Amino acid sequence: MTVYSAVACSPSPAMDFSMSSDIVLELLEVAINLILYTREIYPQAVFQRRKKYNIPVQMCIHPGLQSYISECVGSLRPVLEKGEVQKVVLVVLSAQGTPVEKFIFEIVQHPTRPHDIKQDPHLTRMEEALRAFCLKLSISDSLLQPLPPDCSFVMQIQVPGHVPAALSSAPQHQEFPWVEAEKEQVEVSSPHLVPLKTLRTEVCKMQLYVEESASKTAPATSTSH
Amino acid sequence: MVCVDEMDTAYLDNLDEYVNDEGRIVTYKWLSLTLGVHSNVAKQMLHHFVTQQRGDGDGGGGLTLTYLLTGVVEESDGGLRKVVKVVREAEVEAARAAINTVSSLHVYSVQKSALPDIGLLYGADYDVSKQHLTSTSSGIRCSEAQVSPSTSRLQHLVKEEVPTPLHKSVSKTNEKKEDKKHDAKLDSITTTTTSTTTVTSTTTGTISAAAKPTSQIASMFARQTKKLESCPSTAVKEEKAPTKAKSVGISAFFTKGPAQRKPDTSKLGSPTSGSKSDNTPCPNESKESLSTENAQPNLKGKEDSLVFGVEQEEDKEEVKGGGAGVGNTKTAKSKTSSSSSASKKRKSKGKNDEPKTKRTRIIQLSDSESDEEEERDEEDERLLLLPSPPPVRVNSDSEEEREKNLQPSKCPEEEVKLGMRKKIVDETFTNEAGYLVTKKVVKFVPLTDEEIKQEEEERKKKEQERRMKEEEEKKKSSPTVKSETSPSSGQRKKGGKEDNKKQAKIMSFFTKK
Repeated sequence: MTVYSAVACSPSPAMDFSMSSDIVLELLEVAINLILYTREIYPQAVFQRRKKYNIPVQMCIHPGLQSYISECVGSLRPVLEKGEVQKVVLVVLSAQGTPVEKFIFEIVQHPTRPHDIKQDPHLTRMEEALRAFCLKLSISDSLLQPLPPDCSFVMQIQVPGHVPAALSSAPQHQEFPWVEAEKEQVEVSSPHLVPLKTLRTEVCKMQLYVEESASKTAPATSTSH
Repeated sequence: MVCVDEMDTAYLDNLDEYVNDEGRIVTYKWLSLTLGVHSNVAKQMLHHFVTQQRGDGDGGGGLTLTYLLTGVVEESDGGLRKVVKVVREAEVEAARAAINTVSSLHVYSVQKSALPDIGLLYGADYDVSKQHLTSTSSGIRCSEAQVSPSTSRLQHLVKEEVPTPLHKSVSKTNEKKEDKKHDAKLDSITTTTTSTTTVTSTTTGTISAAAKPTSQIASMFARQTKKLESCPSTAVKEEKAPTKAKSVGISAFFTKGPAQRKPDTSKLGSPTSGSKSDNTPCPNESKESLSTENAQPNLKGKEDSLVFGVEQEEDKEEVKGGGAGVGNTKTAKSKTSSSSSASKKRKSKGKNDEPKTKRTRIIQLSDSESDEEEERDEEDERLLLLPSPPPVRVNSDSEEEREKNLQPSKCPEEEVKLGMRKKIVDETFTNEAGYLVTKKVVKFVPLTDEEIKQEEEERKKKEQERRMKEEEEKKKSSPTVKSETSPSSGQRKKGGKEDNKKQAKIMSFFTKK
């Protein structure tokens, strides 16, 4: 597991990202589960249909996997509340440990407070945007090449330079620390970008695209020799 | 099945764009709503598109289909069960075999994705389906449930029976209510179901309350209280629902005569009942029905409250030898003999034509002495001569509104503009003898903003005082109130039972009727 450490500091009073971080965290958790289900990284039996944003989504019910995902997402909260998360990346590793796909969530948070959203008081349009985001993610298999068997995944975040040092000293992150990712698990060989969805809401702007390795199935054939 | 030649190829190009370029899950329902075609046409379009794509070769571009299969299954115990399934293309044959009687089989969706989770089909057209359900462009419509301000409708009904001079006051009255109700409607658009239910229950409550006969005084207070409220919130409406029927009495004073109101109420009754039935399916329109009911009980109460006015008016006319004000305390003061004589003539005319409306005037004039004194000081510049009461009164809860309605009725032939008041203005002219004469003439003069504000404040205060007095009088018997009105020279009566009551207190010492 390759992680970056995050700092737990109080958010600046001028910029309140609490509402933004809540919504982004929820969306990230749902999106990670959807990616794992759609890309068939884990068998379908591990997942159960749940309801989110008024649509059925597949959420993992395996305790180990579920706890890992929830802890990953939960540990992002302090960083998100300061608006310092630049990217959240789900890296699909092949059986050899090389990245074959990277689902990159590029996040730009807006310090929106609930009473600032006057045109969408019930967040119906925001929910509609989140729904479309999840739907597009679910049908991403039509845009990507199939994955080789026995793939695994890791979570990575990209933060500004000062964040890891502050995060490592935070006591609550000792149980689930973020460490600097290894270079071999960050870069995708001969990647090409596949844009999936851009989400624009009052609380955040999120772009989802995939760095797909052109030689996705090549390592399997190469190792056979 | 639609012939291929008849099908518009543009639709097929659209489908190609949706499925292949955007990678969208295209269900027949989504296609029907997006392109505005019948769902059966959408199904055939999907089938034709897939056939065309697969006929081009290369495996049809990797399209996957889902089918909707309906049929009847005979269960083991002999019972029949209707089955509706969405199945993938590969499972269609197996599903058909499992069904004894296949009712229909058609394409449900077309997509490029392998669709690992068939539940995604629900989310694929969720937004467009929900929008279609809540859309006002639905084919299901009720003409009586159209979104239109109830006040404008009421105004339309009023205009049919009321002379034009009242148009100004009525429209102004309606404007206030319309603004409030428009805001309420805007709020109701994004209301949740709970609030919708609240509005619906309020609506039904108001309808039932309006049907009950209530005391006139209480209705006057209730109606005025309701109108003073700034926002017609649902909670407020619920509270006012039982008092709405009571407000009928006050409204009767300031609206048409009962003969005219009867057709009004009958007219309002039908749209109200129609809107009532549409309340639940049309939450946005429930606000409108509420406003309709607001007007309806007001009109209904007019007849009841008219009973008071006749004798009082007659007495007042006798008492006010020099006074010209009719209907309002503000209008009660006439400082010129010419104006007073003119008012008398108008009163007599109005009396003959609309005795019931005259009652309204008289009651208004029967204000307390204290009120009259205050009004005198404040209204020296204003003279409201109302020979005949306003033929129509629409939602005139506030004193200000009543006065405005009464003012134009003075001269039915004239049109009263908003913000205009008849004032005694000194006019200098040369008479026949060649002398310069300065006379006080009644003219329409636009009020300044300050004056308007002052008027409003005064009226509100007077209303409150009047309501207090009316509540006290309500307890007394109606004949007692009538008999207690007695002529008193120079007394400016504001109207309402409280004035009669005070007069009774004072004058009963001397005379009794």
